[in-house]
Order: sequence, then structure tokens, then C-alpha cells
Amino acid sequence: MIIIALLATATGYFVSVKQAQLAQQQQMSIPGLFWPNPRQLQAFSVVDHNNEPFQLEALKGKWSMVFFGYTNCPDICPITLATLAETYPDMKAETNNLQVVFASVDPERDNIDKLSQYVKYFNAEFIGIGGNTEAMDQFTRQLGVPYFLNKEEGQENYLVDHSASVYLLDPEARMVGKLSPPHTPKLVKQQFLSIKEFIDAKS
Amino acid sequence: MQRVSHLLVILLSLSPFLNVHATDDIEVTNSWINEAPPTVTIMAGYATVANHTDKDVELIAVNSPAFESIEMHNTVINDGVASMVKQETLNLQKQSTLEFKPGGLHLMLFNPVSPLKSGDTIALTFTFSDNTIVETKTEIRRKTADKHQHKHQHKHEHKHQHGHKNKQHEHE
Repeated sequence: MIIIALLATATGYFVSVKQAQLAQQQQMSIPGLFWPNPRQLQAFSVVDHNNEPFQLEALKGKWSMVFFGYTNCPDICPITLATLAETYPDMKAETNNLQVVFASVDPERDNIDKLSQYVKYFNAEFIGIGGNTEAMDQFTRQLGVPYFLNKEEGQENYLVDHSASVYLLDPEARMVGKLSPPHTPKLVKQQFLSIKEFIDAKS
Repeated sequence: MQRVSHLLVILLSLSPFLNVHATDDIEVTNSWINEAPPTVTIMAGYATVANHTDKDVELIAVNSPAFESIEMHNTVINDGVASMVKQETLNLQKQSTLEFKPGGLHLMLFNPVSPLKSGDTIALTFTFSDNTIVETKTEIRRKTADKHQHKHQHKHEHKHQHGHKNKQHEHE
């Protein structure tokens, strides 16, 4: 009897260890996932491409894919946004509460009108955010997004160094993942769905 | 016989348009320019530049009457941060190929003289250190991700894409 009890306990222990290992393996196998302790975003206030306020509330209840760049960026920004635009209908078909956000790291040059025409070119539903540098920094700093304006006195066509990753925020406004380049429509969708599945299972 | 010579004449007259090159020269193929979103005045161009000769050369300039100026840049991603590094010249070793492609080496085309839309064609002139000049007709295209996904698998050599820099690290 004791032996059976011991055996049962041992089996139970073994099973729970195995489950924990499996969970860890699953987590490790999801590229770009930030878990545990994803960063919880705090209040910020910027404006969107319609000149409406865009605040923490705008992230709640939705999955958000955020890409940081500037409209005059010739190579990496249009490529990434075209990639997101291409897979967006597929991702939307699986997750209706998804938004793609283009966040300007050069809001002084990217005025609202520019931002509006720019994001709509890729997809009418894409959201652009900007406003002023101070306000945008409230947002970019929380995500730890690096950027650098290579600006010299009087220079108009300066270039901006910036993150090439797509940041993934969950409906609780937590930064749960980062999709690193190079991006392809297929990979973006796969990574997004596997991170989403993992987060959905946790909540 | 008459027919054959007619055919020959037709073929010869067509040859400048067939994009057929001898394999002992420098050639530029697959050139295209990504259409710019509205309000954007800097465009990116891409091409494959092949040196079939037995001498190393340098690509020293790319020009076009359709743009105010053109520079060569390389997008470099360090610790997740993309920066563009200007290339004054590009080395093209003998029997090697240089590929300008999205997310890497590209032409930066400033201020189109008149607005350019997908389907338009402009002239690009590539000038090399040995005085070779290659003229291309380059189409403006609207990039969809599909078109380029597969090109990455081509086994082109990437020579001398130098100039790494790293201004800031990504904080996690």
C-alpha cells in the first residue's frame, strides 16, 4: 500500500516535472517571445494619423504590431510595411482584433498629413502615430526602441538609424514579443500566431 | 535563303532590346526602383551588377536625368538597429556579382524630377573605374513582398559590403 502510494506520488512528481519541462521547451521554441514578465506599458499620449489622441487605451483589447521608422526611409521601412500589408489580411482572418501601427521616430519631420498619406498607401487600416518627439519618446522608451537622428546643422535629407524589428503587444498592452528581421509575410504570420497562442493559453 | 536573311536582319535589329549581353563584359540586370508612397521624395533602387571580366573594377557612380542625385548605400543591421551606410564606390572583383537588394545594398535616389509611378521607366547609367558605362532602362515597381522572397536564395556573391557602424544598442 505504501509502495503504491509512494509510486503514485513519484509518478505525479515525474509528470509535473515533465510538464514544466515541456512548457519551457515550448516557450523556448517560439522565436521572439518575451516570457515570463513581459513589460507592461504605462500611460503615454501621442496622436494618430487622423490627428486624434492615441493613448494606452488604444492598445487595450487589441493585438498590436508596431514598427518604428520614418517616412523618408527608402529601404527598410517600405519593405517592412509592404511585408506587413501583405500578410495583414491573413492574420486578420485569424485574429480580428489586430492593428498595425507605424510609429514615427522622426515626428518633427513626419507631420500628420505625411503620416496619413504614408500609412494609407500600404493599407487603409494601418495606423500612423507621431506628434512631437517628447511625446513619442514616452512610447518608444517604454519599448526600449533605439533610434538615432544623423542630423547635422541645416541638413534636410538626413538619415535615421532605428530598430528594424516589429514589436508585438498583447491586448493587455504588454510587450510580449519582437519579430526580428529579415521579415517575410509567412514568417511574420507564423511568429505572431505562435506567440498569440502561447499568450492565449496563459490567460 | 531569302527568308533566313530576313530573319537574321530582324533578329539583329531586335538585339539591342533583347537584353542579351556577351559574357565578357560588365552587365547590369534586374534593375528596378521601388515606387515611393505619397509625399516621399527618396526612393530605393535595386539591380544585379556582374563583372564577367578578368579585372577588378569599381562602381564609381550611378546617374539618371530623372533624379536630382543618386547615392549608393548599404542597410546594415546591428543588434536589431538598421542604419544606412553610404558607399562612395563599390569594389567589384573579377568574375563576381554584386547584388543590390531590399534590406541590403541599394541605390538611394533623391528628388525625382517629375513624380514616378509604378510602370514608369527611367534611364540609369552605371559608371565603372575602367570607363565602362552601362545604361539601363529601369522600371518603377510597387514592391510586394512576394517578388523578392525567393531572390535571397540565389547564390550571388556579396563582395565588399563594408562599413559597419553601431551607434546604439537595443536595450531589453
